Amino acid sequence: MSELLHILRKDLRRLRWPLIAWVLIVIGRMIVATTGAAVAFGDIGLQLAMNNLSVLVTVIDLLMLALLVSWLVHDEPLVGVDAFWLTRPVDPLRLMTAKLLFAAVFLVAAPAAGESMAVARIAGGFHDAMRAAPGLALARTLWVLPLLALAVLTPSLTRFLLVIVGGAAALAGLISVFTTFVFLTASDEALDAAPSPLQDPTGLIVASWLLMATALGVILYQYRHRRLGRAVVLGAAGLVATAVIVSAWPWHFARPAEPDPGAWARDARTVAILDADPPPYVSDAFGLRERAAARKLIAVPLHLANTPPDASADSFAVRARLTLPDGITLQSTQASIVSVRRPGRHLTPATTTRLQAALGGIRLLGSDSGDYDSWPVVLRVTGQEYARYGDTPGRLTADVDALVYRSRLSGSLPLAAGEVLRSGATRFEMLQVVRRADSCSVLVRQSTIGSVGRPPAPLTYQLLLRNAMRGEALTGEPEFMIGDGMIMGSWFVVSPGAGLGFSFVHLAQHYPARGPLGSAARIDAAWLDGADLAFVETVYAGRVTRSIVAEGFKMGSFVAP
Amino acid sequence: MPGNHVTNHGHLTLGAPMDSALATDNLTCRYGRTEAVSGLTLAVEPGALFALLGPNGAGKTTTIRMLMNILRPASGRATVLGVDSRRLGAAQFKTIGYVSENQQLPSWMTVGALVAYCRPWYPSWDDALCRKLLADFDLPTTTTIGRLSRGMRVAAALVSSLAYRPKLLVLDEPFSGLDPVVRDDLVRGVLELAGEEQWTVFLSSHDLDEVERLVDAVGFIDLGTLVLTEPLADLHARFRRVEVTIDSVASGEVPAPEPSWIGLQHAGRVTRFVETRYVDGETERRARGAFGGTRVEVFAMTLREMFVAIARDRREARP
Repeated sequence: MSELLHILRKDLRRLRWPLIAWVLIVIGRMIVATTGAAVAFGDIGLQLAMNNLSVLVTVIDLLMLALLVSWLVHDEPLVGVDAFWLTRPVDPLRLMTAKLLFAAVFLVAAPAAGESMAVARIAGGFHDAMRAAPGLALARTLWVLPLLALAVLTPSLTRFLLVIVGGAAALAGLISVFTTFVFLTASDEALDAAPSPLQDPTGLIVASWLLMATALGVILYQYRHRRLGRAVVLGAAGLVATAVIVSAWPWHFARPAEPDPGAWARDARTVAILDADPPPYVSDAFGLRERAAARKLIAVPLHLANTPPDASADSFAVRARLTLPDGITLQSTQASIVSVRRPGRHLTPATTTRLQAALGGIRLLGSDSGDYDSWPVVLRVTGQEYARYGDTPGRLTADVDALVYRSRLSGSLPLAAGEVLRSGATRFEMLQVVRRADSCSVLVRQSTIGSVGRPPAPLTYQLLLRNAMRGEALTGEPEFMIGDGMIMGSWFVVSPGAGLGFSFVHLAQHYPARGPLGSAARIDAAWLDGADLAFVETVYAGRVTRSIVAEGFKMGSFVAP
Repeated sequence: MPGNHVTNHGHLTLGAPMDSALATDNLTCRYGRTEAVSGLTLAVEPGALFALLGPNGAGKTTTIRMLMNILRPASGRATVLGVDSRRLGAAQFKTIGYVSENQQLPSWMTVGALVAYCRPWYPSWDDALCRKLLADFDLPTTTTIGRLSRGMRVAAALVSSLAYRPKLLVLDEPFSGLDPVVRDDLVRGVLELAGEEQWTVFLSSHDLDEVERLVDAVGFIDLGTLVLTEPLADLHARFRRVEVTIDSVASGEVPAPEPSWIGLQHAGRVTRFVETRYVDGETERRARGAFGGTRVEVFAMTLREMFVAIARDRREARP
């Protein structure tokens, strides 16, 4: 124990100034991220400056972490034959324990504690900070352990940095090769069913644990045996094993259960309806490769009937089969939607209907889609098939998977800075309100505490400006923001709300939306005096599967001009 | 003469007994396909001052690194203070001092911090001796090691390796490249201590003048192979430079040299060679008989001259 403390004291003495510098950088990063958006709200130049500063501080943060790891390990290098400690009475396993302990305390726990304090300040409570802390610590560990493993495989800082740069270049090359391969071999056919929007983090969790185990294995092996070649092989084998195990992992313990849309989804009256009028819409397929351009997409006005007003099917996957009189069948699986213009019609999209239902009796202004409608694609055929059978009536049978979303009003905020709304794991804080004679802008910070083992439900929020007295609400449009958020405790770049630890994003909205659709909604100072900001939460509610049969279906009755 | 055993009394015995301070048995090390050390067998008794000599690239440093468990032997074994070198660990290094010309000391530490860091590792650490060494070597304790001259760094390494009175001191060319005054101070410091404390000293060097003053036995390694290992006094006794002068240049056959004669050179009426088995009177008689010379002169040799003669002979014998 005394030897352990002796080494720890020595390392702390050596790294005290870099550690202090690093702490200042981490604090600076927090300050820039939390206050930058409010300071620069409405000023693009200032936003750009703050964003550049934030990127710079983030890069320095990571660089300092790498430097600290290198200085920590390379003071007693495991590679090479000239290290001072090799012929001193230093037990390698005690040395390793001291290094891991130092890393755990000063490179993982301390910054995670600092980030937790930032979470407490941003999220507004100690309880939230405690909830975020495990994820923040785990994410830090996922950075520190691989860096430690690299450090024990290199003799010096220079080689360590070269390996990191080389590794990043190799990874970029690998991604490039993989992407090229995917593009060359990708099928333009959709998956058998519409992919669930629910994230399954099992693979990421398994990969994280395996990577940590691999890194620890390499560190332990090097401190015990100091055999570079074998340690590198061990690390490489660990990486390959991680890739293989994750791809074949059978037990999806972290996959969230598919939600049940409700009794209405099992009701026989809930059917998929294919309108006979208007006729199908035919367009050229956009494909990854040139040959795909020769294919035609056949979209139809398909919708779910008998859905509750606060629910709508936002996307469809259709496995369709068109049987023609001469026995020829054309079949495909598609999960795309095309936008179809229907001149002379004034359409209200299902999503708007859903929002209005969530708002109760409030009328939603300026959210119509004009004369555009969204139709799912039911068939994808080649140009030759279309030319030959486009006008031939046949029997269309299709299995339709509809992904249903529901909306509800989760709360509202008065138009005043400092007001806070909590909705589950999400917190909204009104940072700024700018009122004008005929418009209004708001800056809201949305923060979410992630879970180590469970991904957050795929929630989206729509911020509507509402005047309940007048029974009206407006949709807004996002203000341009550069560098609008920060994710703490995420290993990979993920969208806000999906991080391991804590994430926040600044939402800047302008009301009413600009442009021809938004101009339908007019507000003034009196309207704004009675207004608040309503938060409508939309969540994936499950899947409804139905079959449709259409006799005498013709693909080519209507072709887009 | 593989298998020879050098005692602290200058005697040469056979084998590698386990009570040696240091012994190797058929020790071999390879870097890829290159055999850096090949079948090395030697033993050094406690208290001996032994030098492993050889040209650059001969395998001296590799041998020492195997002894110190820095490198693993490809085959064979070595024991250091009775412990298999591959099992040499923290417990053994409490009584072993090691200084190498390439050793990387923590450059951010001051000399004082280095001493303070080393002290708790060694139960036998002697603060008084440490202070004495610091003073003798004139080391500034508040200067960081990175700012010290090369000589000062070696001195700092020596202080941190001598202050705990090691039973075995291993020095891998620690004084090479130092200016003569610094080197002399350091060598004298180490010599005095080693003599007083009866430490076993194993050093490698190609500075033969320095070695000749320091050690009582040497081993000569070339191309990874141990050529000889012997007490220095014995070497001095059996190596002689011989010059034979004849009256006129003979036109007949050149006589075949004795097996113990190396580096045979003919220049006009003078023939020179090195006798490696010198026996007073006998060598002169055989030289006179071989060359028919009228005058035979015999000169004592320095270690450097012996080393050069052996190295040249081996080079000429190479295919």
